[in-house]
Amino acid sequence: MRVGQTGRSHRVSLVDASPLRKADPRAKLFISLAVSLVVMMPLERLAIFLGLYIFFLWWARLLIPSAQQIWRLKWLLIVLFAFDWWLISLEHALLICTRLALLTGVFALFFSTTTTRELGLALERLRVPYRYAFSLSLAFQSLGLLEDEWRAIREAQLSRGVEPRIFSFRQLVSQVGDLISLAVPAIVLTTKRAWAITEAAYARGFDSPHRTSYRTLSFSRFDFVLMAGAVILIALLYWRFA
Amino acid sequence: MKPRSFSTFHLILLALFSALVIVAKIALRTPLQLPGHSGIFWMAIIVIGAKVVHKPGAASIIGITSGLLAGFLGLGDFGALNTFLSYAMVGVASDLLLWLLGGDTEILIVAILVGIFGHMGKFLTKWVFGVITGAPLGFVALGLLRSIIGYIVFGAVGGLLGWLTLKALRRAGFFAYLAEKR
Repeated sequence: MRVGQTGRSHRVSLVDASPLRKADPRAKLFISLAVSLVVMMPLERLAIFLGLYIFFLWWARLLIPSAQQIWRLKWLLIVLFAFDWWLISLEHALLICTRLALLTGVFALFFSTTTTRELGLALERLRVPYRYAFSLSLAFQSLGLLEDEWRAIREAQLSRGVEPRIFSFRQLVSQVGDLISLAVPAIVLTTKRAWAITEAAYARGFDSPHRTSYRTLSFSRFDFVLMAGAVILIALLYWRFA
Repeated sequence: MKPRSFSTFHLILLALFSALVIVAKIALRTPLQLPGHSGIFWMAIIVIGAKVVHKPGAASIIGITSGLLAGFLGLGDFGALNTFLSYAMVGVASDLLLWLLGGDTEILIVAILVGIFGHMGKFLTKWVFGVITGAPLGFVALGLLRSIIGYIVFGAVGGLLGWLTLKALRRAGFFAYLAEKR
């Protein structure tokens, strides 16, 4: 799926070749959260973990998505590193930048290998009511449609001569009225679409008390190995090298 | 039978509002190079969503869902965790203030305060993120001090835009239409 205009687009980049595509989303979520906790370790242990984590990302073919995420932060990391080195110490600079880079890239392993449908199924298994899990998938699937509608509204308003041109804060305040002409039709059309979807969902027995999912998730040996590996590694780093 | 807090229609509507937050964030790029300017649109949508559904937790659902969407789309520069928490905090902070102020965003001052407070929730997440990583507090404060005014002003404009949109919707008979659908 692709969302975006005005020269910048956002593509959902699912890494199909990754072995983690086969893993249960709950296991991936667990690993991502576990790695997020590891960032509070001191530098020596963090360095050991980082080495192993990079190897894991290479195995999972997620080195590039994670690196791309960190690359966006390059200027901040450079400035932060320079300031920390100058004001505190090289060790501190390395520690902070490693922590920030890890925290930035860690959830790439979840979001690059999971679809919203799979996340919805995982939420259901985590006892989140089906209607909430469904609404997440629905929001994702509606992005393209809403973007088309948004563009249509904008073009319609442009043809009427309403064109918010916001280059300064003063212009922004004086043109809030023009922004309303975009917001009102967007809200009305979104509400109409929500009602149509609700009716369609009820017609298909959405609220049935005995509904079952066509697809369900179950933990495999692979998921247990992944989670156990993460737990053992973190436990070792916390206690064995303490 | 226990009454549901949100009907299916409400949840679907909130999900679509969440998607609208993301669409507005991506599609409506203003040339303003000021920190927090995109908050105008999403705070407006949160103010509108909180009034249209008018139940505690509505803004939080918009925040959390749009945070997950933003995470999947790779928005934000600090990674998916920070993006998710930032968006979610916008919703949670808005809900918190709505709960304290009685929850009617059709009142101008409430709408503006929700805009400011909700947007500051995002700012707070960035600050906490900086503190957790152990970045020097002075450096974090210096970087964020520049943006704090932007967050407050754009949050307030977002609240104002939401309030004006609600007024326009009321005049157009939108709430009467909505009452038929409930």
